Amino acid sequence: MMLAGAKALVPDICVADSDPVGEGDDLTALARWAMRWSPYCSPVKGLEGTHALFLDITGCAHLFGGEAAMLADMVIKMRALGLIARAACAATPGAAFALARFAPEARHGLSAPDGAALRALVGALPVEALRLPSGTTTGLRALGLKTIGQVATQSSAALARRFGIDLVRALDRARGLEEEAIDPVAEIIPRRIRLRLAEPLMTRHGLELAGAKAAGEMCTLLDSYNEGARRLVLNLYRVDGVVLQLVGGSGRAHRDAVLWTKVLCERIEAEANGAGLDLGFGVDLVEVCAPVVEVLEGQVMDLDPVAAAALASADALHRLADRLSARLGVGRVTRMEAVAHWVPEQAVRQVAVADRRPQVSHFPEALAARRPALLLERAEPIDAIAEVPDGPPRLFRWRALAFKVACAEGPERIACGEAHDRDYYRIETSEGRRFWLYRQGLPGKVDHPKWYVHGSAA
Amino acid sequence: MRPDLTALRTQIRAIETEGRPTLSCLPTGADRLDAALGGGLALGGVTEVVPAAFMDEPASLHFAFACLAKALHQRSGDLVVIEDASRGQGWGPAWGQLYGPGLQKLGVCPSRILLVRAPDVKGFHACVEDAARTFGLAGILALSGPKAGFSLAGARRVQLAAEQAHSLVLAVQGLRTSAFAPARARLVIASRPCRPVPLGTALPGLGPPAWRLHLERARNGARPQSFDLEYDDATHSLYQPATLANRSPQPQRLSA
Repeated sequence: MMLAGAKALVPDICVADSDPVGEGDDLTALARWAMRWSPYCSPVKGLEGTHALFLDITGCAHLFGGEAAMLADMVIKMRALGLIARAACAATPGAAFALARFAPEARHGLSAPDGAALRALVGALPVEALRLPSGTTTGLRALGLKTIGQVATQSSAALARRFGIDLVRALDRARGLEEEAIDPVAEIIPRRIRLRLAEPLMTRHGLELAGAKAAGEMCTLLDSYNEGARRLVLNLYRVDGVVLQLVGGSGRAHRDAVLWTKVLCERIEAEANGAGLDLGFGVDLVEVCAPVVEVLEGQVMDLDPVAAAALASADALHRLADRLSARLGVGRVTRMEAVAHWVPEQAVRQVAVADRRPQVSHFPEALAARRPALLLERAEPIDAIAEVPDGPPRLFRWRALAFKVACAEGPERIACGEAHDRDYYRIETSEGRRFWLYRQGLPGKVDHPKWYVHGSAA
Repeated sequence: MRPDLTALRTQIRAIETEGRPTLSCLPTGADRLDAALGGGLALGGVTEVVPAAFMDEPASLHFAFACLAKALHQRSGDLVVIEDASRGQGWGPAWGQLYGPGLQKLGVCPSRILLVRAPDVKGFHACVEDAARTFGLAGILALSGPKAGFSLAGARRVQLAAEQAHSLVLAVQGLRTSAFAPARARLVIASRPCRPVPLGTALPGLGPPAWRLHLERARNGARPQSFDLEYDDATHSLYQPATLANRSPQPQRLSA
């Protein structure tokens, strides 16, 4: 129906432009929320305007009282969000999709049987259930093939010749003969603990208690695997379909329940004081995940007092790093990691202590000997007078101040590709200020090489 | 208290510290400066490092790291560097960020640095206090921006925390940062031309880094005085160059 026609029928109809990107985002958010049923959850991709989610519920259904009860729960929870959902469960995603879309029983959740019974059930559905572009389904209907069962009676070689191999594959998927991989919205998390709450949590205090309980259970779980976590993620599933995420980090992997509780509570407090923690109508599911786990080696209780003191001080430092990470945010407490890269600004990387231990933190001695202690984020252009063709600068002007060079060491040539090659000089001005300058473009290749300041305290 | 009990306590303490006297100062290596400071940089106290001019801000940081290299060499534990990043990334957008290789050259091992960037002034003060209260750190370096000066009460809290945990705190201030009142000493750092190394080229090479330190104020009552210092990165110590060599270099004429 055209918009004009619709307006003629219902004059005060509400009109909004279609927004495929926004719908896709909403669907992804819904998929995250649907992770309450299974961690393997993904929006159905590939076909415009398909609003569907795939969930791999292998090993999950019994937690909700069986497949039928789980599907019913999904339909009810979705209805509470104001969504009209149809749910079906079958051996393959393709069959489940076809049934959810076109089987009438899917309104209340349909748990389909396997094998021949499934093929019979799917066979009665129209060809649109195959999840194919509209051109293909129109073509099939033009040939008089209206249901999946009718298409399946044709020889697959003939179908492939006429409509392409995609049709044959879709047919196998819908009839439960071929598996299909789904691409989950969130990475698979090795360890998780969930607390299902009878009453939604509305207060920060309640949240802290629930977080503490979940952290305690997580530590017990990690203990049974002899593992420790460097990072715990607290997911708060709100009743209205929004998931809030808080991340607590630690400088080393551990499973100390008291410390983790403290970190998560600090995170909740920081969030509540900062941007504000909007709990909406309450949180009915609290989940604690450990995305990064490490096997914990046993620690020797050292009886030597010096070694024991060193252990205690390392422990104090870790606790400090954890506290600061919790208070300021994980990315603000870092260590330096050396990267084997010849471009100076890329030779150092900051690694959050909660992420991992820096792999290399020593720089080659010969390289370090020529580097400044402070590096500008972006080299700043200067006006310099230098010996031609390739001598060090003698006078330069930076930030409206003139400097006279008294000592210079260099050049150290760093190749950055033809016109961008740099000749670095450590220089000291007549007042004793030390800078790290470079000339961009090699003499002879570039007519007027440019000069830059890249660091100080060289 | 019975005298034999006191003797026993002394004996136990001697065993615990393995005969080392408990350090209350960290000698910098420059004898006259150490004498003026009452033995060296205060352990269990805050030492303020201030640039003499805006362009000396990198020099003051350079000097602070030279002192901390000594601390890392002599004390166990890590170095915690706390930056006031309320003006964007890093301590001074004017000077950029700390660069690992350059610090390693000074003798500060980058793997022993924990970098903390506080997003606001309040958070910065809380972090410095928290770090100062932590036992077993080799040193704490607080880099304050111009607006991140401590209030009287806040500074006092940091000082008390440092005394309690016996920690070495260097507060490197920007030129316009308000003074850290209860600091054990206030050192004003200015750049000073180094003793150049003749290389046979048109310009001589760079000698060891050199500073002029003005001891503006010290809790032990030392009178204000200036020192010329250099840094030896092989022994991680500051020293006063020999007097004869302590002349400023002759002004050089630029060759045409």
